[in-house]
Amino acid sequence: MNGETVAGQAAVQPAPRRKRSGIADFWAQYRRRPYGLVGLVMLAMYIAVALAAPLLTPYDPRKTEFFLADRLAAPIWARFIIPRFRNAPPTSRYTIHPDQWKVERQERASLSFEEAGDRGETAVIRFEPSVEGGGGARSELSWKVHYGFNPPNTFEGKVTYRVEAPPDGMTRLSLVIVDPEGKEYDIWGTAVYGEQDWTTAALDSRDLQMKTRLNMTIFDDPAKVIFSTKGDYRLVLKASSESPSAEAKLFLAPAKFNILGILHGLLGADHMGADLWAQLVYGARISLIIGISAAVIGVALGTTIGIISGFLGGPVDEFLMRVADVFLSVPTLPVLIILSAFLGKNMWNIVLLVAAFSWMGSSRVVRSQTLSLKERAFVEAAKAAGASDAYIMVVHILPNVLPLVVANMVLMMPVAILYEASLSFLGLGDPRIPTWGRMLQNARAFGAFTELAWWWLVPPGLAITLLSLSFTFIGNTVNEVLNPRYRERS
Amino acid sequence: MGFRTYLIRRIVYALIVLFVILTFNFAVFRLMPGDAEKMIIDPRFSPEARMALRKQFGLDDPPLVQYWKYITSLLRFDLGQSFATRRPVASELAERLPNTIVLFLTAFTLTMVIGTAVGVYAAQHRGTFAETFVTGAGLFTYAVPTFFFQLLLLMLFGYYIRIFPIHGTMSAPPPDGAFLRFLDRVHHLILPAGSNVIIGFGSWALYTRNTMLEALGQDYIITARAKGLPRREILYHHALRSVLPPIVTLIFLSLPGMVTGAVITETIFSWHGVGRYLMDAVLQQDYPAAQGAFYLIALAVIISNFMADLVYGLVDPRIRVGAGERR
Amino acid sequence: MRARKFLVPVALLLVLALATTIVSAQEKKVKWEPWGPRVDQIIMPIIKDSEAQLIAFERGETVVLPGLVRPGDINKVKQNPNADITVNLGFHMFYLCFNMRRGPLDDVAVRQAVAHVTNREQIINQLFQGYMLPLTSFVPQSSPFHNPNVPQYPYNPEKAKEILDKAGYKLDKATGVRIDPKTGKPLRKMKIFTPTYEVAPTSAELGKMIAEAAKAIGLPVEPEPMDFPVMLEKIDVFDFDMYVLAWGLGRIPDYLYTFFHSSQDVEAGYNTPGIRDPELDKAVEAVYYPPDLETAKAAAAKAQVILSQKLPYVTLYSRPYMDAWRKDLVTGYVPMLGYGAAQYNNGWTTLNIRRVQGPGGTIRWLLPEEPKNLNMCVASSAYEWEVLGRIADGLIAVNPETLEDMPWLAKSWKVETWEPEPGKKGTKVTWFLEKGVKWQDGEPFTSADIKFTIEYLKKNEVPLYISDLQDVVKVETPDPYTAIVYFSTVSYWHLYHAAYSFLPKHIWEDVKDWKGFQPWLEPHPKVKGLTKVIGTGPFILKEYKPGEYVRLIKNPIYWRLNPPKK
Repeated sequence: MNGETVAGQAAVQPAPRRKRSGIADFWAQYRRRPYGLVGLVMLAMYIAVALAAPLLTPYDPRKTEFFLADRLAAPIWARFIIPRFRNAPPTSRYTIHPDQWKVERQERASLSFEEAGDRGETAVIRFEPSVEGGGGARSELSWKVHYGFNPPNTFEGKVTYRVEAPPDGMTRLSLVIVDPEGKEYDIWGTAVYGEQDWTTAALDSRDLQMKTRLNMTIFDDPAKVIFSTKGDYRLVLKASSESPSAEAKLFLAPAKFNILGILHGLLGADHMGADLWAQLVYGARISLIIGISAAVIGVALGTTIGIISGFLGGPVDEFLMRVADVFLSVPTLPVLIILSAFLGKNMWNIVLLVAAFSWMGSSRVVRSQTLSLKERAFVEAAKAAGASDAYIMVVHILPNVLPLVVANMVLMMPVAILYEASLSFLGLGDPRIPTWGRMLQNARAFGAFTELAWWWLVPPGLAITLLSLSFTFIGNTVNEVLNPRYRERS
Repeated sequence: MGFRTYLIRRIVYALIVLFVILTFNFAVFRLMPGDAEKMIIDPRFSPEARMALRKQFGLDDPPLVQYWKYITSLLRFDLGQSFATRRPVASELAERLPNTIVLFLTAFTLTMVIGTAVGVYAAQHRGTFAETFVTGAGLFTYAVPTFFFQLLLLMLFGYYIRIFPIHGTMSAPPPDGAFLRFLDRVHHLILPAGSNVIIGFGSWALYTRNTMLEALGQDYIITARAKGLPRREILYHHALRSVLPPIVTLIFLSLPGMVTGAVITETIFSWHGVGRYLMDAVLQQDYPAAQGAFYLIALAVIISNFMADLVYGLVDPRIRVGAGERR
Repeated sequence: MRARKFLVPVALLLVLALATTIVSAQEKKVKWEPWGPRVDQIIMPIIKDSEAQLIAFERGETVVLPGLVRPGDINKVKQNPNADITVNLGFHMFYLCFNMRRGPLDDVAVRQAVAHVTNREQIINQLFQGYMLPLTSFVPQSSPFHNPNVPQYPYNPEKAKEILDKAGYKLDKATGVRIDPKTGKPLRKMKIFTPTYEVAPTSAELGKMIAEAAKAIGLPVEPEPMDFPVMLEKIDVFDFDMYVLAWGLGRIPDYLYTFFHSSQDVEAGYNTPGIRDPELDKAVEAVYYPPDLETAKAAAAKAQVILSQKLPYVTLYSRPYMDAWRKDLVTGYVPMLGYGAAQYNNGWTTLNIRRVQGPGGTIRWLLPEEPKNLNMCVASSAYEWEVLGRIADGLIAVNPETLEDMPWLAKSWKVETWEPEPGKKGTKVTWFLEKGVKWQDGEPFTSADIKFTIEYLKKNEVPLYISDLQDVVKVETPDPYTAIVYFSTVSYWHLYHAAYSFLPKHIWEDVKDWKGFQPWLEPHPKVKGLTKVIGTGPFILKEYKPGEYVRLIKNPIYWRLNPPKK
């Protein structure tokens, strides 16, 4: 990369001073070059995506929303092109409202509905007091769901309940899934002695307790076994009560039941079940911000140093150019690796570091231009009129070197973007922001290879490539327009 | 200014850069969090034991003493002891250097040869598909992140169509017989070196082509052509000769880029080399190791820059004269 | 509230039941003998990349995937019909630590409230796909010193709110933050330090889960992922509120002293929560210096009760050792409680593993990291011992089923007391060695080697052994097969403090620079084909190609090669 940068800089020779032609003139020349236009269109698309990120995806990767789907879920469209995903399930989330429960069976029990403050409507099962000689009360509620895909890997759910019963009462609760063939799977159960305030029980097919309950080992997947056929499934809530002294009540708040999808969204999900499309879209913002700000800072630094060096000359010039030489001679990526480990993993640190190691090219160009400007009559005149050095540099020199550094700046953006991506890929990026480099790093570290999940790998890499390409197109075109000698060479 | 003065200037200048890098190297790692004793977290490791370990690494000396020790020991090529392995860094690096050199030289030579050949061919056949290809490839490979391309190749040829090994420099253990051993090494080299060649040759070809075209536009070539010399002879004898110096210079100038590219290539292909050593050391905050690896890489870069200057100065006397002023 | 009291033991029983199901499923298969090895050669390819490891296992380039950690890997491996995954409870502990020096964490009520909002089941199921065990005491379930009868803090936000309300932390409804009764101001922001997402995504996410749950009950807690070294640095100087980390513990619970004794509450000490409690001090002292095993057990049980009341940590989960084996290629791997089937501490697998088609031949055994340094004095990582542990051998062996001591290089031993000074008491360990044990170069292994090793390590203050050997006064060798080690203090654990990995005297007595010595790079002075890495164990180091592989071959003069013929 170092070598290429040097080669790139060699191309930007100081142009003989031309009459400032104005933006309209520049555009007139620019628009005639197809590469430049392609670059602009591509860049415009990136900017549009970056700005519209919240509209393009409902998820915000900065908030790290996990478990939207199963880990390493494939994109939705994978079902059309990859045989093993042909009938794979997407994520289904159900909320079972109290009134959706269907009464299957009731013995000495009754069901009614009641408002319970901030929990909204709840179902209430009243159990009559039990009688001597074993006559408990029982109730069975069921909820039906259709499942029409290949077996999922994971299901999870939540049951929120409360028990009101005398101290000698015992209430039993259990959940059973009945498959279309009538086979029952007893997935959860508990016993409550006396009363109990609102409690949420979590069901999870990955839970060892559930596996043990189903007589499975730690390596079996209840979800795969239970949802192995297509058809109507019933989730049955069985409740029973033995309460000798008074009636008992069981309150049920809305319950949840989710089947985590093996297919998810436009680009699938990562190892934590987070949305990859959202990461890609938000990554555009970060890359643009990093590329543009690093280039602007770097070129500003280079311009300042170049003007000072060229205008003041003497030992200042000697010193500054020596410093530039040192910066040119250090291996940039290793230094960035070491410094970003040292300064901490922060996006702005990376921006500043990339800028700190990319000002040398523009400073040289600006310096030689300044050297020739210094001899011009208008500078001499300003000097004779008693203008200060600072004034001359800002008012007379700066505007004349600006067109020169524009192309330099645009050409530096892809370099900055590539550096950031490399650092993120090596695990030295800012951990709090979604970047393309980090997506690639995650893909490599968390299973994209063994799963052959190319949809995780290709989009971020392609995004970086095309963005770099668009900057390169624009930069080269700007260069051709502002520096005609460049055109002759290529 | 004579060549001798120029040479001395370059040497002094290279030494200054070296000194700056050494000081940077020392200061950064001295200020970093992490310490020898942090490498071992074990309930059986008492505070006394941790102090003993600190002492063993000379970490209880005042900073200036440490700096002095650091510089003097570097002159003896003593790079200190790794925190993580407690082995001399120099011997760990010596173990890895051959691997890096093999990878790097293979990739570099191939890039150069293929790049130059394609560039010359494209310059010769203007307006053909070859030229479009070179321009396109040059631009595209400049934009594509090397590590992305390498990941793609790895996934395609290592995991999907499993025809290449996915880690290491040799089979474990390598086959018997020198020839089979050689083939085994080559088999392991193809992906890491090949990916670098594919990414690198485009820019090379583009540069060669541009330099060639510039040369072909020079007066003496036009004269030669007017004299009716055969096309081939003009191309190979005159034009190529005039583009060789810039290309040789570029060879040295792009050495550093390839050296630093080793960090990423070695990480992706689990190549037991210097670049990966640097990466591991940085991530583990093993600072003697990171210092050592960085020192080695910096040294390689400084030397190749110096060589570039030297070659440039030899082939182009104008540079020598202007050197003091221009730089 | 009677109901809750009832529920707790039920939950607890379940955990125990699960723990036993896991183990009992394995125990039926345990078949091992104290003789071996049964293969001629072990090639250990070094593969660091976890994806590449999976592929290597699939292709049979390794017969074992040791220490499966990532749920994704486990899910992948279990689909392989040729894979057999062994599961063993481990001595691993993942915990949330409080800084008890700082308010409001100095208040046990706040710590209890955090414990009650910590949802171990959710953490385990979501982050680890169910492949962890909830940990509810300060000594993992696998240890014989585990005490199940300690106060429990099951997930229950309502209970947490109740505790805080009772302790006077009133909720300010407007801000959602509770008011500190001591100052009358809202509670200050507290941070949970976690490793970064890159290094440990699960730990970082877990920190976030706990922080969010705490916020929901009015405790302003924020997660802060940071680089590992930075985190350790801050913990060292007690600049933290809470952090999450893991310990890999051992069979002996002497770590209770190291973690929780008030004398260890010093900078760079391991009592990071800063717990100082006279009663606890007494208990952990008895754990650290017990005259016998029974005292140690009682004291450890007591310490666990006190700790669960004072709550310097919230213990979260314990990772079982899961090792995947290619059952179509090898057999004879021995599951071991607390150590797993593939770890180096489990010498039984090393001796018993063999190819399916019969004894002899080569097996390939993955090394997930570079071993780097094979000098026994400085080798500190598990990966180095994955190699060295198969070359070295101990005085005592551990029964894989019961974790009880078994005679090994020592055919018997005595633990007695003596008087270092009049009126003081110390421990004296007498070892009676097996005759006929030889170093791999043919030299006999004698008590002189034991004496040399202990004195060499002590003289050079080798950091790794300082704590173990600091109380050694002297070593006596009345004859080549008897060694007596005298300690200045009384502790049953002294038995283990000089029982492992000896240095061959005839090699090491000439070594001046113990830390710079690279024995694997130096050829053996007498025997061709050997290096200076010499042990008494079942395998010999043949070749170490850095970055690529390690080659071990069977020790042809191993003293336990075959059972004596009757």
